[in-house]
Amino acid sequence: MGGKNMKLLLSMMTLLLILSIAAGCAVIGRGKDFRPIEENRLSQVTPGKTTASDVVSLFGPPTQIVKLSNGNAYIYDRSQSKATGFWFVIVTLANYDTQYDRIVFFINNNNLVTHYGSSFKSDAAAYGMPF
Amino acid sequence: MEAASNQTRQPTACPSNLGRLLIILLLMTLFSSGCVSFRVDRINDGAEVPPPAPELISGKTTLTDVLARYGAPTHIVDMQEAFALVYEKSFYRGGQISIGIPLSDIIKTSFNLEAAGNLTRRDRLTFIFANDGVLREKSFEKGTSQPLWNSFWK
Repeated sequence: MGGKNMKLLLSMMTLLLILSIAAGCAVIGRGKDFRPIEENRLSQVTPGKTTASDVVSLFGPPTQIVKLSNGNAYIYDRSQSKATGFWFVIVTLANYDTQYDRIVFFINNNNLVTHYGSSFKSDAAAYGMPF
Repeated sequence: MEAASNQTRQPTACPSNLGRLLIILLLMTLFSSGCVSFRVDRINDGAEVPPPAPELISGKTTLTDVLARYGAPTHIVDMQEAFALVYEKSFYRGGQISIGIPLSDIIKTSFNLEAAGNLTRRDRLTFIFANDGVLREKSFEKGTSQPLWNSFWK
């Protein structure tokens, strides 16, 4: 009887210990630094013909303008972040992944687009394990 | 007779020690949960940066070629007679352990010990162009391939 009680007590203790350690939570989160950038509007851009004001009317005001000695670069970007976190009693583990959609237009001193480049990778942001 | 009673006592000694150990562990876990914390963060920012393709040759390759292959850069830097496109990805690992005993209500002071460390490694690909859009230089560094601990303590 004593042995049985001891076993029961040990089982309860083990269970309590596991519960107290496992008491915590897992969190997933998602954040967006959003602006509407329509990828298909890039087909309306022709280097040598499209002007800076055409770019602004197609994509809105740029996120950033970089002054270059032979013109300007208009940068449009937005991002998506995904986060995974685990909270145990004394341990916090977190993983964040941020990916970007970005378009860059090079505009010469005559206000004409000379080159442009784009990357659309925000959908690649992933919920990763924080270990 | 004594030996026999010892033999019967021995098996119960082990579980009771285990019981004590479990109680100590349980109490330590419960009491330390408000005072001790350990945090590990991993932050990945940006997409993979591939090394420069051998076809990209200084004096021949143009801005159009680079933009077509790598897309929009992370940064554009004006260099007066030239400009640079920078493609970058960063990977942060940080850890923090803190031990604190809030005693301010009793002795107007608190004990707090905190240790933190972090390391950011970057993959970076840079193209420098002359103002006419022809590639002048390229460079690549794969920081994320550096070891975590050795880099941190270097």
